[in-house]
Amino acid sequence: MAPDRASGADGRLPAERIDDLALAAMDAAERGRIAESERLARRAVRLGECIGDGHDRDRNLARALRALGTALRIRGQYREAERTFKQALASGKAVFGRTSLEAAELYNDLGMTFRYLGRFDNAEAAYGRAQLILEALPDVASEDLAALFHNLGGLAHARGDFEAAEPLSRRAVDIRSRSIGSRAPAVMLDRIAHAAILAGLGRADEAEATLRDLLPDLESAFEPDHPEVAVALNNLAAILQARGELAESETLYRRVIAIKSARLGANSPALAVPFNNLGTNLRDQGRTDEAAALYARAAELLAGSVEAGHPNLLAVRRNRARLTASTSL
Amino acid sequence: MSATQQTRDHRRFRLAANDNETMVDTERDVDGHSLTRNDRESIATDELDTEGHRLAANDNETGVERTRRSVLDDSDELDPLRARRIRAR
Repeated sequence: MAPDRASGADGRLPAERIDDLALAAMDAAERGRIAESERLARRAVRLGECIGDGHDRDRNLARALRALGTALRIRGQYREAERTFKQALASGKAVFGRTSLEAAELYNDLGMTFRYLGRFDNAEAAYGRAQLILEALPDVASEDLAALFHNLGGLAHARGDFEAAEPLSRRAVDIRSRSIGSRAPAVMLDRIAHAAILAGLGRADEAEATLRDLLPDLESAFEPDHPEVAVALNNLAAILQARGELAESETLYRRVIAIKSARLGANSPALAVPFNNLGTNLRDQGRTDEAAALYARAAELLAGSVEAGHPNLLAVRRNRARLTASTSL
Repeated sequence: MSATQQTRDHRRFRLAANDNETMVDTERDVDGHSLTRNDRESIATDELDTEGHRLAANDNETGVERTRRSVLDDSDELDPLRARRIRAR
């Protein structure tokens, strides 16, 4: 849908315009056009807030706010995303019901947001509610179940519990592959997430083979500068770095930073991981001043965006401390 | 809203999925290279101990449910579906 169709000039009702705007915002998010997604979603929310109290308002606000929360989460504005998803959930439960698919979607969205914030117990509870709802639905889509298992595996990955993560992530791959085929875009994302877990389990060769196999198709299915491509490149770079292939790893990290900066903004906390990782790479090359600056930037981006105990924030601080200790000897 | 619009909405508003990104930690392995945060030995033990229950390994939906805790701060009461499941355990 072209955004100008939602201007109201065609005489359509506000609810139809909100639906179209929210859908366009979600489309833009899928394409990695996050600034456009946020702009469209904010327009949808503004229109929704003009509707008088009642089910029509709740239905439209639930969808508009979900689209906005999605854009905010991808950009790394996790706290605002949490508030937005909670507002969406309140509206969604009021109009669709507490055990509806829409409620499950929003619990899943909240779970993802909590995970990125580093509030893992909250994430587990939110995913649990989504799972209860999905399992009780008479016609749950296998893709929805796959997404939930993908996320449960991702939560265990974030906790550093790769043994727990692997079967959950593998289950997501299996379910979705049976449904839509092993090279479908969503399945490629499942397999990339699974590869990160394999790397964590010490199965780096398998992980590298998967990433190298999928990257060309991933770049075709999305775009070469899509944020999902950046995640795959980051994980491949980390494998290469661990093997001592520092030059290729550095090149990949710099491409990750370029993609994320362009798509998510120069101040997105999503940049903290590649900044940190490039810092460790440069430290391995003896370029300690550059490494220190990257660690400082990574810590700055995370400190204002995630919980104080987030594992990534702690890791950056450890890296800075070790660098300081090693250079002051 | 038309049936076509409903179909499009349902397809687009499916559950989203997160990214698993590898975070590198500078603790060195025997070859002198940096370890990734994926290498569990490189993670301080308190990282894993302060985050509550983990999802069970090699388990299915039942295992996931067994470790579930309600710590959301919204005001949901226990819904009937969940109450039935708990009573059935």
